[in-house]
Amino acid sequence: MIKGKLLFFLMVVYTAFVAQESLGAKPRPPVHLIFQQHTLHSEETEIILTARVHTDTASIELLIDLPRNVVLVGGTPAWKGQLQAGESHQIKIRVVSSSGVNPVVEGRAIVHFPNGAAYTQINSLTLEGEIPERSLTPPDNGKRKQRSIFDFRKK
Amino acid sequence: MILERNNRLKKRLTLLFVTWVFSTACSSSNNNPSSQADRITITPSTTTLVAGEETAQLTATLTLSTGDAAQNVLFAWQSDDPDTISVNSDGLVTAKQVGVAMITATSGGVSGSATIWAKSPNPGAASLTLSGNARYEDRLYDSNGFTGTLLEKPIRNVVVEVVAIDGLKTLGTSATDENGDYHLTVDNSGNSAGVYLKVYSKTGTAENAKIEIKDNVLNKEVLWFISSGIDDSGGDPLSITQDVTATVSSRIGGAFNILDVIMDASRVVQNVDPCPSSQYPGCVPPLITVYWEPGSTKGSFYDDSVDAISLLGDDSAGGDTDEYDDSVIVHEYGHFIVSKFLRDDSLGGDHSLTESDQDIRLSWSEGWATFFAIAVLNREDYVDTVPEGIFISVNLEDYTVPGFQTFSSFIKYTTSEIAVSGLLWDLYDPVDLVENDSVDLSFSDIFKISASFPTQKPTTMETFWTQFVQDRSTGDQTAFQTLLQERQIKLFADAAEGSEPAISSGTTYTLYRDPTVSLDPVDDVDVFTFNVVSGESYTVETLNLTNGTDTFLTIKNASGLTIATNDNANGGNFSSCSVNTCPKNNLSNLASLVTFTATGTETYKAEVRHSENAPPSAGLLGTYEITVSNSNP
Repeated sequence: MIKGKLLFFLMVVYTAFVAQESLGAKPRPPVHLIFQQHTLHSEETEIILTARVHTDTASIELLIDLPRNVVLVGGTPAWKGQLQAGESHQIKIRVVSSSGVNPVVEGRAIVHFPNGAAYTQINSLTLEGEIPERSLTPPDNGKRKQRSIFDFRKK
Repeated sequence: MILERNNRLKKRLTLLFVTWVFSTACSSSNNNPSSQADRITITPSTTTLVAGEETAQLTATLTLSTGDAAQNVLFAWQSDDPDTISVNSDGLVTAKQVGVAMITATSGGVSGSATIWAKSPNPGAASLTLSGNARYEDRLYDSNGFTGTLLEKPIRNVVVEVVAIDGLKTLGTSATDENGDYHLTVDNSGNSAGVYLKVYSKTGTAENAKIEIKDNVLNKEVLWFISSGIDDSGGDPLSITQDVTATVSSRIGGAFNILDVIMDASRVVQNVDPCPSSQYPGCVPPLITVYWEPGSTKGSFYDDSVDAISLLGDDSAGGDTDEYDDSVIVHEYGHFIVSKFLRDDSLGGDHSLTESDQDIRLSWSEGWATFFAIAVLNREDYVDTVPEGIFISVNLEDYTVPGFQTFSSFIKYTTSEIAVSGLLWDLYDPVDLVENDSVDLSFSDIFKISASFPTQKPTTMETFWTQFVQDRSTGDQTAFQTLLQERQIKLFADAAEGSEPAISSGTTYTLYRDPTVSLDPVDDVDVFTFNVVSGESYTVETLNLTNGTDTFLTIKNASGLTIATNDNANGGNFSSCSVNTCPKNNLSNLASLVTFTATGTETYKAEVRHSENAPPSAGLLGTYEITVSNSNP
C-alpha cells in the first residue's frame, strides 16, 4: 500500500513537472561544449571534451589545445565530422602535467553551416590533482556566520 | 587420465585459492569500514544548549552498505563555527555564545552532521527592536560572461521574521522596504535570550506582485537564510542593529537575485498603460513560483501546466547554473507574462538560435520572451553564462555573437526567434542606447498590440504586423517595413497583386493581400501566366519557400478548366501535426509541384494560394518563388 502510494506520488510529480512538454525552454547555441577530467593512475589525467549540437551542421571540428607544460600520452586531441541536431561526439585524451601550477586546457568546437557561416565555441578547463575537500571553516571576514537553508540541508 | 585428474585438481585448487582471496578481501574490507562506508548519523541530530554553561556528548555511527554499524571507528569532529559551538576529538560539544553551528563527524570519506543551537542563560527582552539592512551579492556580467565583480544590492520587499532560539518560535514577522531596511519589535520574554533574523525569498505584502523562490517541486520550501545569533539579554527595552548579506559563495544570494530580477520585470508589466487586462487589474501579475536550488539539473523553462518556472542550479564541472543569468530569468518570466496577459500558441520544445525555419508560433513565443528580457534589463544583449564563459550571448542590436562570423545571415524570416526579438527590440530600443532605426515605441505600445491579437488568429509575427498596421501611424509602418525587409520578411503585396504576370523564375512573391482590398491580408491568390504547346509536358513548382509559407498550386487552361493541382510535392499532409511531427519551415518541405501535358497551344494559368491543409506550424502568409519547365527533350 505504501509502495502504491509512493508510486502514485512519483507518477503525479513526473506528470506534473517532468513529462510535460516544457513550454518556453531557453534558447540554445549551435553547440554546447562540456569538459570533464578524471585523475587516472600516477599523474595521468583523462580529459573528455563532449560537443552536443543543437542544429544540423555541414561539419564540425573538435580540438583540445594543450599548454606547453602538459604532455599528451594517449588519444587524439582533434576530430572532424558531421553531426545532426541532437547528436553529440566525444574526444578523450590522456595527459601528464609537468608543472606544479594547475595548467589550463582549451577546448574548441568550430561548427560549419551549410550556408558557409562558421561558429566557434571555446571552453577552458583547469587541470587539477585530486579535487580538494571543501573547507568547513568559513573565511574570516570579520562577520559572524550567517546560515541558509542549504547549510541545514547538508545534513 | 592421470593428467586430466591433475588438471581437475589444479582447477579446484585454483578455484579454492580464488575463493579464499576473494573472501579474505571481503572480510578485510569489513574490517576497514572506509571501503564500504555508506553514511554517518549523529545523535542527537539537533539540540539546544545554554551558552557558557552546557556541554553535550554527540555520538556518531557509521553505517556500512550492508546496513550494519561499523565497530571501533575513529571519527574526525569539526565545528563550522567554533567560536559559537566547539567540539573536541571525542564529540563533546560546548556552547560558547548564542548562535548555531554545524558539527560534522567524518570517517573514511563519509560524513554526517548535527545542528547545535546555543541560547543565553539570561531571559529574553520583553521589548526587542531589531533593525538593519538586508542585502544580496549580485554577479555582474557582460557579453563574454561574468566579469568577476560582485555588487551588493538591497533585498527589497521580502518577508523577514525574528525567531527565538529557545524553542525556535517565530516572534514577529515583517518585511524589508525598497532599500532592504527592516524594523521589527518583538517580545522575547518568557524565553531564554537569543534570537536570529530569518529572511525569506518571498515578497511581502508591500509588493504588488507575489513572487516566491522555492527549493524544488518535491519540498516546495521557500528559500531563506538567517543571521548569526543575536543575544537580547542585558536590557529592556533593547534595540539591536543587525545587517545581513546573502552571499554568492553560500549560493543563497542566487535566490534573491532571481527574486529581485523578477520583481523588476513585474514592475515593467505593472507600468503598462492602459492595462489591457480585466482579469489582472493594474496589470499586477499573479503569484509566480520559481523552483531553483544548487544542483538542480531539470533545466530552465516555464511550464504553464504548473504555473512555475524551473531554473538550472547545477554548478558541477561543466554544469550550467542560471540564478545570476538575468536574461534567462526574465525570458522565462516573459513566458509567464504572456500566458497571463497575452496569448501563446507555441507548443514549446527545443530551439536553437541559428534556426530560421522554426514553427512560426514558437519563433514568436521565444522571440517575444527574449525581447521582454532585454527590454526589462534595458540592455541589448541576451547573455546566458556557464562556468567557463558563455552558453549564449547575442546582441540584438547588431546581431553579433562572440565567436560567430556572419551570425546575422541566420537572422531572417518570421520563423526565426532572434529575428522576432530583434525586430521588437528595434521598435522599442530607447534613444539612450545605440539604435539603427527611426521608430520608438514604448513597452506599453508593444504590449497593447500584442494583446490585441484576434482570437481566431495565431500568435505570430504575421499577426503582430497586421495589428501594427491597424494601430500605428503610416510613418511607423514605413519604419517597421524597413526593419522587416532587413530581416527578409516581406509582409506586403507583390507584383502579382491585381495583375497576372508571366512566371518569372528567381522572383520572390508574397502571399499577402493588399490592405486596400481587405484589411485581412490572408487568402491572397497569386495568378501567373505561361504559354504551352499542345502535347508537350510541363512542370510547374513553387520553391524557395520562406517566412512559413505553405503553397497550394492549381494549373488552369485557357478555358479556366483545372488541369492539375498539388499541395505538397513530397505528398505529406501535416494539417494535424504536433510538436515533434510538424515539418520545419524550410525552403522545400511545403512546396508544391505539378507535372502535366498540355492539351492545346495556348496560355495557361498557375494559381498559388495558401494551402487549406497547412500545418499550424506554418504561417498564413509568406514568400515563395515559382518556376515552369518544359520537360520535353
